[in-house]
Amino acid sequence: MRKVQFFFPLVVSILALISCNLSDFQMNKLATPTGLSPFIYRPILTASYAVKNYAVVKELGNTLFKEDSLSFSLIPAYPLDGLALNTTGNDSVTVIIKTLNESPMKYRYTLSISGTVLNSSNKQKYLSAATINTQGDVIENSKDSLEYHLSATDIVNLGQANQFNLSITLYQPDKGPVLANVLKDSSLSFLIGMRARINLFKIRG
Amino acid sequence: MRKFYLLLLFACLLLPGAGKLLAQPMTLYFLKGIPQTQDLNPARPGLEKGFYFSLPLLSKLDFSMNTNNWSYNDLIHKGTGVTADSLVWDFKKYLSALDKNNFVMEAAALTLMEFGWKKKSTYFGFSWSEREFAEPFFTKSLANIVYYGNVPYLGSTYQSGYFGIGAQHYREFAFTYSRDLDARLSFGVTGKLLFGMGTVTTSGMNVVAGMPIDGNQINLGATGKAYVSAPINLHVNNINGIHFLSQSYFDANSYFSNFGNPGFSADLGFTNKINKRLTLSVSLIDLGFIRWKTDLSAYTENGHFVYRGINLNSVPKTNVHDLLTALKDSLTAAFLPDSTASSFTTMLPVKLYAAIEYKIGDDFSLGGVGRIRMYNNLLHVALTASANARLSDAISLSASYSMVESTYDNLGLAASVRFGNVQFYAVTDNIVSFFQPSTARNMNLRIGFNLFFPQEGQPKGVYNGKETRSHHRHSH
Repeated sequence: MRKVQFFFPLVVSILALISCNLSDFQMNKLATPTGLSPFIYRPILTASYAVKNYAVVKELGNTLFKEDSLSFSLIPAYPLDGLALNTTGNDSVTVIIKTLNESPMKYRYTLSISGTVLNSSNKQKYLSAATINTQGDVIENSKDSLEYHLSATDIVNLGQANQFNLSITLYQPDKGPVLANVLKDSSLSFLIGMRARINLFKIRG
Repeated sequence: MRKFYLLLLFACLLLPGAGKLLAQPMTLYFLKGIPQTQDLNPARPGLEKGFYFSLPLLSKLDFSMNTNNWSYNDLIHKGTGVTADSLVWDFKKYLSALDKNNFVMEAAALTLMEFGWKKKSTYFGFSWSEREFAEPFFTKSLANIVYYGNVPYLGSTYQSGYFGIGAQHYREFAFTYSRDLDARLSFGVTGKLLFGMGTVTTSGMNVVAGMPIDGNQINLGATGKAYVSAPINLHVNNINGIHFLSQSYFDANSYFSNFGNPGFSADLGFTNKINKRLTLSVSLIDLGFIRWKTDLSAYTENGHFVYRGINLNSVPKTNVHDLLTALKDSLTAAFLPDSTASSFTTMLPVKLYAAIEYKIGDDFSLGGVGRIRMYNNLLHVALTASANARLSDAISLSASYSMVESTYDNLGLAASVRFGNVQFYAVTDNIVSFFQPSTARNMNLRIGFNLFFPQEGQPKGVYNGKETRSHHRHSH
């Protein structure tokens, strides 16, 4: 009986030690963590450009604006100091540019940042004009959304940028010339956002 | 007898998948012949007559850890293919193992001194223990946004649900009194003087983020409170609008000699012998609180911010970096916790036990125990069925099966072995987890040493007020 009293706990202890898979806890064999890269979206900037403030329209009142195009020549260059985008932990980034066009003209834009060019005309088409009624007034704005994939190299360029430039050009719609006063009172708005997988293990406080 | 040992061993080894242990050693409840059954019900001191004390400084040691239904192996496991010889992180598997509400409960206790004596129908006991527990809790929603990010929530409102932690270390001086009112009814009460050593506890922490489908803004809100009592200097570090607590020093002497955070708790227990074979019992354990008064820190977060990025029109021809700095400053100001320092109260995790025991013979019984534990507004339910035997003057065994949370494969074992006046006991609610700790969702272990001093005239090995079989044999 006494032998059994010692035998039982001894056997259980030995079996536990042998078979408890302690190798599952060998932290020196633990691989670098991967696979924790949440998909993060955040708005980066908004901007709105009224035609009367950023472009030169000479026509007055109810006269027709007959030029083929109109450039937003008064948009300034925006100075950066290389810290505009915190892209730590990003291997690639998708920049989403959403536009709201309240003008009766079609448009194109180009956003260039230190050699990285986001150009709406890449698709060889104009972005839509707002819908106008028979009197030439805008009755429905047009919305558009374009996505640009930035590579790791592009991200490095962004980090080195010292300014970015936005150029916008309006073009006559297919229906023909628009009213100057409607054009002057309209504007074009931008919402730029960023969607990227963030490698949480690359982020350092 | 040998067959019984082999049967237990066989049962344990045949279930290699049952690697999940219970949070608390419920198998202890009906283990025969040890005084520590009073820890689960003060009306059941487990001592028929005489005096005992436990080994000073190492009277008993408790350790338990359990999750709601996930294990270490869900997060870290051996790789396959080229990573076969490595341990790999598997966040996706971990996420799939989570429930809506999740926690990991860790508790440990070291009893430095314990003694008790029973004379006739009255029992007195005393113990001094150091106890600690920590229970971080979080929702699957919080884990989801860490894993998937906020993109899936565009066009909806994200709610993290409540998350936080409750952690306490306290010193406990327990005084137990129990009495057999008659042959059927017994009651017991344990009054516990508590002295808090340190705590971190949170309340109402959650994050809400509204994100319109067009992505033009993120409407952020964060609320919650955090209370700390410990002799450390805490700082709120602001990293890109996110706040982290760090501490700059820890004074061990001040920490362990602190008696400035008093508290009180009580255990209540009753037993009722329905008939010669059937006994019902019920107990309420750790009903109490600690009032924290020293070395206080408290932080209240109640921030709201609409994040739209920078507005290029807001200041013409400015440097974009200046706009970003202004944005970050606004974000920081919105979520800067208010720091206050006033005393606060924490509750202990209260447990309710209800049990039934059916005696098959003087030395063998079947038992069932139900336990409800309440903490952080969550109820944790466990059920245990056990077979309990006193095999000889020296050995008692209990074997159990338990259902805890969502686990149904818990096989427990409790044993006490006595050499002369010295008794050693060990209890776990799932023996198999020692074979596969990496897949254990519930673990616990209690070990301890007792020294018995029978009353004069009491034959050694008296059990249940009767002479034991061995004594009976010798007397013949």
